[in-house]
Amino acid sequence: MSIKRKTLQLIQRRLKGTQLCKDVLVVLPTEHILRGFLFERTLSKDMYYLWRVITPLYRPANPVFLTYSKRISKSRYFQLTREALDETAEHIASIMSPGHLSYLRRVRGPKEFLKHVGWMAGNTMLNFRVDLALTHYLLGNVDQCIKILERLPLEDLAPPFRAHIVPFFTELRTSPADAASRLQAWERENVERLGLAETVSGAVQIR
Amino acid sequence: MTQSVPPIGFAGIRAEPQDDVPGFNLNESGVPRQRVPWFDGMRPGSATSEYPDTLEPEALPRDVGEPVQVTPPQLPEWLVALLSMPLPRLSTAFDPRTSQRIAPYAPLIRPLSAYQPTDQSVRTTAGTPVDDAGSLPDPGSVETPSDQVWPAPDMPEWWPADINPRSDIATAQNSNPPSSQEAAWNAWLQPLKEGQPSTQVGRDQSPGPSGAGMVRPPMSVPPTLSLSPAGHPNFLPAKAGDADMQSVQQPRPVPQDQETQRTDPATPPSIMPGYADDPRSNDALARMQLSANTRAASVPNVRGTVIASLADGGTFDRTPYPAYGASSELGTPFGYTGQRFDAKRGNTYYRNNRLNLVDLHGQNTEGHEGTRPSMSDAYPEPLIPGAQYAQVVVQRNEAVTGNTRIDRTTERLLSVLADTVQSLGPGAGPIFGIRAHVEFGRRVEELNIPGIRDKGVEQSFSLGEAAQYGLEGSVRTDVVLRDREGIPIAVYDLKTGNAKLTPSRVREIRDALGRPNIPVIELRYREESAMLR
Repeated sequence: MSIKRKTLQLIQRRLKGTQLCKDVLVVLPTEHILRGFLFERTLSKDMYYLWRVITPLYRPANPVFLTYSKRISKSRYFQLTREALDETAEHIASIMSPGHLSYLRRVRGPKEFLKHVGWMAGNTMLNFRVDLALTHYLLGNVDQCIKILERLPLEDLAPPFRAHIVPFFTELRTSPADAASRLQAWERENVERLGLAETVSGAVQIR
Repeated sequence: MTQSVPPIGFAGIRAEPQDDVPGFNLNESGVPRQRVPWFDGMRPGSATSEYPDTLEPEALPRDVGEPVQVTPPQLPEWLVALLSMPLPRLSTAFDPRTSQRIAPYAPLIRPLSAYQPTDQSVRTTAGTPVDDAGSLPDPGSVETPSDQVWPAPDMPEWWPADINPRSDIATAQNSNPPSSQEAAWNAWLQPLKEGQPSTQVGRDQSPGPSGAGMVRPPMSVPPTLSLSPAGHPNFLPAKAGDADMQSVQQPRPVPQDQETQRTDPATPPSIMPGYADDPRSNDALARMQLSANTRAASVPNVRGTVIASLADGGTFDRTPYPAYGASSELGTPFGYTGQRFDAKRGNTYYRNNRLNLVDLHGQNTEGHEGTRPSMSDAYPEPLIPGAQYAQVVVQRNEAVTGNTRIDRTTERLLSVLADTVQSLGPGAGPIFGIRAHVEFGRRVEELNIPGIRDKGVEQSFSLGEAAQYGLEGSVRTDVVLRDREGIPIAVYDLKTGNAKLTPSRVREIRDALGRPNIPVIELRYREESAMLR
């Protein structure tokens, strides 16, 4: 077990309502949005950044992108070593809770996710606009979703995304049921890949 | 809006003409002087110059030129006018060879207008009290200097025996000087224009900067206005209100320290007259003709951080200040930013001029002869052929994009790079490269620079998304600058060795960020430069 995972495991024991899934300490329950904490390596040996993760699962091939996440180890690293790991875990848990943990618990679904990214409203990055469209779709704002996607130069998307999003957009206008199934499939794949099955509350439903 | 004039002067002590105290308004012939409007639109005694950006200058009183009512006793009109004459700043430095006061910018010397030092109960003829109380120092907080410290030989011979101008002048001392270096820099002197009236200050029209540097103060100027504390007149005390400050009006030997040690008091240094327009640390001292191995000058980098000392023998020693000058045990009274700390008094003397920052757009402003008058009339600084000057690495920003946010950040990062270089020194190899990256990244994170903050350092990207380090296909950037909406607008890549950022690597970075045209700026450790790739 890696030192990152070992530390998160110790933290999990201290923070109720969390579950370690692979290298992410996930905040329960998972409803379309992955919320949790993870460590990221730095250039220095044994030093790690601590991230408060928020990322939508209803997008294709998400390996836990950190675009909507936050480094909470601002201007300092966390040293994770085998020695005194309990004390380290205790210290980190005290940093996570209650502030960051409470915040994550509030960002439960797509509606809260929209609020979370509200400050990025003027962001014209393609990936962000796609996420925005998909979030609106999940919330039932299909027209808004189409409106956003129509304005995007989808051909400029990175090839892996383009291969998924372009068909989805086509289906959205021609066969909405297929579009819904496609989006549901993305989410299932992400849940499976990230080992989140146990954290998901009920079936992933697409409106 | 009339531009108010920041306080001139030295040592944070602002002498102020006495608006309402009679007896100062005589010309050189002893004739009552007609008061003229102040060229800066400020009424003498206005407190606006201390905080020039926050207070509007007040209009001239309607009764300027009229004698003021002072009761009792009623002073003669000529005396009232004399005492209301604005008083110029005087140098505290004396030429050791001639014992004359050094006043290199004589034609432009003018009165200070930081504080009105008079009793507020004194009324003008219109009966309107002078409303400067808000910025006045507490009279009780400033002591009147004793006679001992006022050099009698400089007293005007014609001075009426029953008038002691010193008693009021002493109240001009600022009891609340800037407490930070920034405050001292903010007190930047506004450039004087040629042809500005000098009649208010009773100065003759002697040559300007190119003329002879030493000018004997006119007889009408009481020399007792030199309220400089001990120490280098280029410095402002960070801690006023010190009792010792009251007894330092007369120039006296500078405390023995690394910079000014004199082994033979009988052979004082010769000080070349001239005009100082260079606020770098202690250049004047560096150019004093002292005996060998008797003094050294602090050498700042472009940020004003002391990085080394330069002995007069040419020895160049790096000063091992840690980050932010945390150490105070370096055997030098000069601090991290080149300000002298007087341990005896507990004062830090801030320089009365701003840093001469390098123009990071690629132009080095060092050597630029500005139009400002001398900020240091104590140690004029002519260029002396053959004198040794410290070599400071000049940062080069060859990555100007025209985007203000990017260019400003580039300049800040170059400054951080300079500090990193200073901290680590030269080096090579992969281990050193990692050390340099870590140190640089740590410093950038600590600064919490807008657009970089917590996620802009050592951030990996993949497919246009921020990703974890080590994710397949991801690219780790050294620094990413974002705009207000979080869009990456520039990438910085630190190079410590000879390797350069190749076009293919630039393409990789752009692909990872999903920004095909984003500027990728190479920060070169060795040259302390920025290159746009």
